[in-house]
Amino acid sequence: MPIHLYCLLSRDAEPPPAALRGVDGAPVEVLRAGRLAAWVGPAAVVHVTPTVRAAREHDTVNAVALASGETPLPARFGQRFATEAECVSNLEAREAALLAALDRLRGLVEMGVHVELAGASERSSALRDDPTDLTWSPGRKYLAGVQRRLYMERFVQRQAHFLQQRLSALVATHVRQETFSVHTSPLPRLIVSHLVPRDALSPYRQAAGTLEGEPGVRVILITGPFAPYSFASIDG
Amino acid sequence: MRDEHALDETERLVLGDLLNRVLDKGVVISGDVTISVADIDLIRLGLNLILSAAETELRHAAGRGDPRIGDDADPPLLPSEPGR
Repeated sequence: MPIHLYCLLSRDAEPPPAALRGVDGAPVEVLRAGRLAAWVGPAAVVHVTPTVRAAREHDTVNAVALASGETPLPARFGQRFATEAECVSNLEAREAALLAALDRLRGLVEMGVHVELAGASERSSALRDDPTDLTWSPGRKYLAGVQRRLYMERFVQRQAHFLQQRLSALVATHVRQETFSVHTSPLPRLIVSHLVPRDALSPYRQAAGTLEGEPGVRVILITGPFAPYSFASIDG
Repeated sequence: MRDEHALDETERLVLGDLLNRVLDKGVVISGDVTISVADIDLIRLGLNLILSAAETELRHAAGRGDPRIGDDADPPLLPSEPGR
């Protein structure tokens, strides 16, 4: 029977609660592989269709693992195996790297800072309302549109990088690792993920929250704690 | 009204954040993560496109009072099957 992989913990970690349910209401069980314990669940098919509900259910299992006290190594959604034996084989082949990752993440959680940038929409509108557009040929209008889009992307990137550096400075003493991304659509925003010690969450939130007063911030949202998805890679 | 709009905005940001983490991050054990649409295996989907489309759809759904972003909702995150 196919199985869905939720996360990995050390062999001695607490098992999942008996009442815990995962994707499609399936029970969550422990599958042991060497010095690892994998939280898995039975699945109807090997190749999963991603839905909002399934993503939430996957994350709920990881959240329960995180709340148990040991930081899990969360699996990317969609990690399924045809049989338990196949899963065990894959885990044992990477046991050293997975144990190293668990050790690296011990005592840490992921926090997120989501910043919606101000000013980009207003600038875009101002550029779009240029009256000289009415006299231009279709070709020139097209090139002007490309030019506006490139200008806005550069504006968003500059604004986002300034805020990312500002945020990094504010939370530096509470953060072990950081990753960020800048998005220009559907809304201009900066998304930052931080790896934070469990006992530093309160000062971290306080420090990150002061970014709200910075120019260029329309909305700021601090999320977490989460299982450390953004820092779970074992490559390299 | 202003507070209701702000709450919807927050819900969308939180959900988008969750989808970004769960679908695009996390440890990968067995090479590429394979997910399917209409029984067709798709390797290395452009998840950024999916997430952007999902966020756009959620914004539209919220704007028309669609309950699909609620806890019981189960909208597919990938394009509908061909021919539909």
